[in-house]
Amino acid sequence: MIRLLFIISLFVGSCNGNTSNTKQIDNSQITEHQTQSMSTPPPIPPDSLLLGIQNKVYQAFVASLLSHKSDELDKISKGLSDLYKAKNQNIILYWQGYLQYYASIYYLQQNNKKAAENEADKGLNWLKSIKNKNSEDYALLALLQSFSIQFRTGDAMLISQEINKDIENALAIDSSNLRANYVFASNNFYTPKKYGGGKLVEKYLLKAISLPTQKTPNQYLPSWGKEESYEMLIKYYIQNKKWDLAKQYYEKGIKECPKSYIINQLASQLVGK
Amino acid sequence: MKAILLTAFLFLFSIFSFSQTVLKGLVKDSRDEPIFAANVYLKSNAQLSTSTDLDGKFQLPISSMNDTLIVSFVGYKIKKISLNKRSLSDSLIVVLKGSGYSLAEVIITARNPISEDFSAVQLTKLDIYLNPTSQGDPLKAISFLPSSTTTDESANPSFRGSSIDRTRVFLNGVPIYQPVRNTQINKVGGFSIFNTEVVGNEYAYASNPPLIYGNTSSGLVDITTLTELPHNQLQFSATLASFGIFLSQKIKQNSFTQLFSNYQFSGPFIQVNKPSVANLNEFGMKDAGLNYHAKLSKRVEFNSFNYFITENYDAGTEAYTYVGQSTSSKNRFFSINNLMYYMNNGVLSINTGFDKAKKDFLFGNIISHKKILQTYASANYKHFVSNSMSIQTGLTYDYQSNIFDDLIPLYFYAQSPSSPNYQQTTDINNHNIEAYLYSNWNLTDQWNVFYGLRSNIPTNTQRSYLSSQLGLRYTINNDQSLSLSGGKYNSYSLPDFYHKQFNLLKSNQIALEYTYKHKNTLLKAASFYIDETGQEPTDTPLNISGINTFGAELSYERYLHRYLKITLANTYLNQILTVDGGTYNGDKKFDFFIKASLNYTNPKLFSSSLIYIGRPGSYDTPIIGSTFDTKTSFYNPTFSNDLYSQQAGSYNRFDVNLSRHFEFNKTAITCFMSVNNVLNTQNESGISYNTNYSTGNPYYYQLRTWFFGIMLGLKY
Repeated sequence: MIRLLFIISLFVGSCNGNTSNTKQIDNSQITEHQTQSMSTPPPIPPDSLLLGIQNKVYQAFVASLLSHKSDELDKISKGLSDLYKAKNQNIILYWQGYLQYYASIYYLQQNNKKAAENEADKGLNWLKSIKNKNSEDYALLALLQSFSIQFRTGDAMLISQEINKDIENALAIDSSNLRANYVFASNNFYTPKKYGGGKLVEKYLLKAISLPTQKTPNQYLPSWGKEESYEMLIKYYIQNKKWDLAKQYYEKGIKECPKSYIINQLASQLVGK
Repeated sequence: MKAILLTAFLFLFSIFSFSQTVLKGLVKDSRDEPIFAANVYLKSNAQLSTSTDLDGKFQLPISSMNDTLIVSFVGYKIKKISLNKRSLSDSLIVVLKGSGYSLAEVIITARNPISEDFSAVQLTKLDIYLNPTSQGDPLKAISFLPSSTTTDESANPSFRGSSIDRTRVFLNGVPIYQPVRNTQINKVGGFSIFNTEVVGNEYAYASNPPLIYGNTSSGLVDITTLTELPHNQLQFSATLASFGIFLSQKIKQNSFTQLFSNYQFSGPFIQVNKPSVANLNEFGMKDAGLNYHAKLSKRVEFNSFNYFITENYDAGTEAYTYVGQSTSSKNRFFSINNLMYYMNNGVLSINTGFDKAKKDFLFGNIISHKKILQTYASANYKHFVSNSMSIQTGLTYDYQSNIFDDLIPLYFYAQSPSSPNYQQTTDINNHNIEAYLYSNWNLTDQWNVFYGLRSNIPTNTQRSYLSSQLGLRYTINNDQSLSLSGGKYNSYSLPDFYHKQFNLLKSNQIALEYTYKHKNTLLKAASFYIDETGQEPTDTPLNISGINTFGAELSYERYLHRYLKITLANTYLNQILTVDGGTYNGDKKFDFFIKASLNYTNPKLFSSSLIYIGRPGSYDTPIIGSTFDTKTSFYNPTFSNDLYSQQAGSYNRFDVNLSRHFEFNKTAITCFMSVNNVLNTQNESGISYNTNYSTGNPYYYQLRTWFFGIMLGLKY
């Protein structure tokens, strides 16, 4: 039932990146406007797949979950691969890595751990192959590495060091990157207390939710992390029985991301507290 | 009126026509590559923006010429362009420049050595503790590398068949000569003088040591101390042979200190292991250390590491036909201080070292008193030219003074207390000034190149020399890489009882190395050739002037299960010595040198490891006869002309380690036990002879010994 609610919520949509009333012009719109009087159909720009790619991946993930087939995710994956062959842009590798993250979650939902591991590995390879990584690249790499620990045997502590290094780099390059702050907090949240876990969760999540999802609106670039930061912060307060703060940030989170399932689902834990 | 109407019409027409205008442009980087998804907007209306396409092109409708175009993208400096009519006439080309490094990024990057991509292994504190052979010692942790060819069970590192005298250990950029405890006259020492709790990173270079460091013609170990303290902690340790205390304390937000002290004693250890350590009478050690790290400002960091040790050793020793007690004692203090100044695109560092030691050694008719003083200073600047290229340059001054006041056997084969000896006082020093240049450049996504040059500025009678190196690494894919590196290197031998001089040692090296790493599997292969010249310091009367070593290494690591790891390594070494113009097999000529381990590490249960090291015996020069010397009443041995032709029995050793870790809130307890040479194998270390050398009896490396202890950690 919970899984069904989760899937339905994905359709409804959630906190959608930019909160400011901004408008970004798509080059294809201009092309379309300029060529509308022509008799031949307008050419499809090669970057059309990348326009709003974050949402496209998400929708493909939801469609795959509902159909129990990975076709939609595979379709985007192939599109990205073809695009990268034609245009060697790092941002394509980023989105390939992002897509593999969701593909891996999809296979976990299908109880196919081997396929989930393969998909995560593919994503890690894409991201690791990016030369001169920027803050976003490091943040996603750390997130995927952290996610992949469940597939690893043995030296989890050593992998954890790699993750810390990547997060450190992400924050060093851009300390005001929401996603870098979120991934740092997330890693600290899931680190056992005896290894220093939990101490910095609050600090970094409070910073994450104070930051814009994007500094300048851009539909080609990532905007995830705000909703996830609220969810984790509320969970953290619940775990530590800081009920007033949990409620305060629940209300704030819902106000900012009104349709968020992952924030909404925490309401039941706050009732009567 | 008509004119007014015409003007108004033209004005309105121009506005109307202007409102239809679309600004077209191309955004690229300084390498002429198009930038995709760059943000393009006007200063007057940042809300209305567009992005570049995959070819870097953009189109943005504009309604006024009196505006400023702003172009930005992650990792690049923002570009602002005032619009004018020319902006519309042609397609605008906007070149974005990289934003360079942020200060925090410079600090993180600069802390790692410029040569880290070419190191054989990189270890953290945790890696050292998890290493099955390390016994918690940073230098013993690298002894299990396939490239490590230490054969005397010492912690003193040697790589790829070279002597320990050619390999250097650096701590925070300062060379630490004699980095082991309980050093005997032949420089052998069981453990290093480093406390793992202060270690941040450790890099080992099996050959082609980066020329940012000098005075090495073999491998190099580069250890740096912690730059951040994860938490405050008080630790106590009690073992069969020591008590220890270690305090890690944050002082301010960006400063911390680490204080430690150990007291080592031999009584219980000797009692428990009596049959195996029959020759050992006593050993002891007291040490104290202080590591202080401070971030003095946003751009300035300071670190000071200070260490004092006093130690003694008393054991049965053999020398030719004489067997007796040898005793040694040593006091040592060293201080290493580092100041780093971080700039926007580089870091300036000043490293200083002061090391003073006094050592006494007595055995038979040998009485040796040695005083050592070393001072070191270096100024270094590392510059990040671009994201793909960095360069480092610097000047180093290394001064060493050795004063010997010795009674030396008149005849090397007559070392009993009553045998004749003579007084020799020697005061030697070496001023070594060198300048260097090193650069690392990522040519493409797959090709990486480094080069280094290091030249001395001769003082006194020194010869001038130039060390140089070049290396290439090809990243085949995410899992595999191949590197080829070579160079010419220079170093000075360290004076000792037998060789009271700083000999210039040279080497030419070339190495081809392959690495495959995928998920839980690590495979490494290497092949190398090393040509060493210069008078090798040995404890024999031989004059070794050259060593040629060809070798091949293969190692494999794999997690068989979540907690179960297997490691296998084998090394082949073919070594030829040049002695007085003739060539002979080297003492490290091994058809195989196997290192294997099976490790089970389950944090909820226990950790254990089974370790095996096996190789053929080392080679030595046989004694084929003797003549009686009436002056000394000792027989004078006659060595075979066929040098290094007598091989000791094969070396085989199994060790077992077991530990259990408990956590109760902020308290942690670790119990550990190790059994070294669990099968009690008699591995030949050397031969002692009867009075006329007609029969020889081997003596052995460590037999089976038990060691156990407990550590208590309190976090607060």
